[in-house]
Amino acid sequence: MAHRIITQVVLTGSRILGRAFAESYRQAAASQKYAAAASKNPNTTTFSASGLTLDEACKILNVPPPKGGETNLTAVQERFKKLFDLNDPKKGGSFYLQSKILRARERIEMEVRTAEEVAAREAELKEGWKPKVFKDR
Amino acid sequence: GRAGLVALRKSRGGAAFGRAFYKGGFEPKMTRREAALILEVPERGLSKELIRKKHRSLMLNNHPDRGGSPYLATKVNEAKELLEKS
Repeated sequence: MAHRIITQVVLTGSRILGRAFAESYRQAAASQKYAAAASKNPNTTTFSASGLTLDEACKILNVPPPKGGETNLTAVQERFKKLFDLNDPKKGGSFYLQSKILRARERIEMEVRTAEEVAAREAELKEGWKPKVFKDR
Repeated sequence: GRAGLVALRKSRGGAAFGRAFYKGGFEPKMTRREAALILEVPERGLSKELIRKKHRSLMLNNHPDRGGSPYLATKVNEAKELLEKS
């Protein structure tokens, strides 16, 4: 009697364990596939903190996409101001569209900022670290 | 004071007081919820007339011929079509 109960418990436990392992394997495979797809074309699929792609941001503001972090920021600002004012909820605009316009500008600015940071880091690596030291003499 | 205000504005996404701006971009595929948000109409129990009126005013503002963005104009049209269909 006792050995039957014990075998039953062991069988049930191993079945649950096996199912859990299979599930976790499937999860890992899926996440690996997603990461591979994301790394293949980093420009279009990287979602920033704002969850907006650079492509879409440029389309929303109707500005040419920045090439290597170089873009006309004043033009972006002008387009943003114009569209933002056009869609003012007080003048019959849509608050949702206005939000999208704001996020698009933020996205483009973030792109430019990160490009600047990378450029600064590379310049530092090339020329060596030159800290500004102020000495009181 | 000032630092606290800045932190509050950051956490609320652009506006310290009043409504915070919606986060992120457009959804990959237009949903009923998004369409209702764009046209600023209630999701249920809306009339054709209201949709038409809202769509007209938005298109007047965002028309590509008058300096609007073509992408936003297509989104507005898409929202209207989706809401009129059902």
